[in-house]
Amino acid sequence: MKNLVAVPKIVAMIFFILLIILASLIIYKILYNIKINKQLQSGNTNGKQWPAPKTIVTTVALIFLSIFCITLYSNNNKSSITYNANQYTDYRSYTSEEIIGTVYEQYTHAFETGELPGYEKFEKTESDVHYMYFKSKKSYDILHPSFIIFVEYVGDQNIVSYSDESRIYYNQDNSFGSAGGGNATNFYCVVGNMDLNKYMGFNYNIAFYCNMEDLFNLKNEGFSSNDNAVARAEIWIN
Amino acid sequence: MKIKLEVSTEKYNEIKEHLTMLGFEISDDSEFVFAERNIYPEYISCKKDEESCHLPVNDIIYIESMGHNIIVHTLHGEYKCTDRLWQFEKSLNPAEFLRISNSVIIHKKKIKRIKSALSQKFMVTMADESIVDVTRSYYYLFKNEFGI
Repeated sequence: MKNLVAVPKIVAMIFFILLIILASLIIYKILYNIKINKQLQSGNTNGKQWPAPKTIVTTVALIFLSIFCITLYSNNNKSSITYNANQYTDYRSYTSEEIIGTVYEQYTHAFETGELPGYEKFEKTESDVHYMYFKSKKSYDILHPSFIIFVEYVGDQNIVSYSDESRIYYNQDNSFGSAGGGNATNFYCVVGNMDLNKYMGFNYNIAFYCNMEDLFNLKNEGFSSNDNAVARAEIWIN
Repeated sequence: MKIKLEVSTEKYNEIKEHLTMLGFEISDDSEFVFAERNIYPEYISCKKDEESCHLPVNDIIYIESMGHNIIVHTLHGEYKCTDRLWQFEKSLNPAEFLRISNSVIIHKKKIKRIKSALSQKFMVTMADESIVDVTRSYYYLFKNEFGI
């Protein structure tokens, strides 16, 4: 099924059209032969003449090619004129190592300078965690992140691992998201691309640990049971 | 001088007698033809195994040109003729015979089955189970003739 989905739509449509043409040709030939021989047996030479098979093939091909072209044209126009940006909701989490080489690496300078044109900055340090997030001043557009979060541990413990969880809340009771964790790095970044007006908000939780066992235990018991964390932070963007 | 007669059966003997009296020799091998208008022959002159014979036209299933030879197909065998295909096309009754390609004339009443091909062709199965093709040039003529 994944392979079928990967086949270009146009190739699939062409194949479908060829199949339709072939099927209609075969069916027409069968019916035509029956009609011819029935008429031959009856001796009637004044019957209604049917078009030649190649006429049928040409007609069917023209009809389906026209439908194909109209469909292709309207889909292309639809995508450029009526694209619904609100259907696109995405967020991605990176460590300071993972973000290198991605398209979002360009935003890491904002963490260093504390400035990002077009964005409003929020910054806080609590419980040995410093975070800074930038929220777009403009309305949602697919080309630019809606928000970027940077988090770093600033305490004096030797942090070995971390866990984090991101969730998008439709309302108090409904949300969806993902969680992860791994070795500790310098900072952590979450890039969100969504129309925040459509949601109640975006929630990001991060916790830091002094050993890997606490992280593995967490994976078994869920993020909420991060009692062994030496530091944690929760960020809410709406 | 040799003359071939293509006249109705009723007048054949009378005309043969007259021409013989005038010094003509009646022979089916002659290139000169004494023909009656609006008359379609009931027999054709041909040979089987080097033996000359008169073949009833109604026995003909189809006539085929193969190189320099004209082969007449019937239910009881094949016959050879010296006449060219275009001569048969002119002399045979068009209500009964139809040319379907550059090399074949068929007896319309001896068709068993017709099958259309993908391209502009028909494949015709004759009474002796032979299959002959209606070529592209004769496609619409054949269609109109049978109203198919």
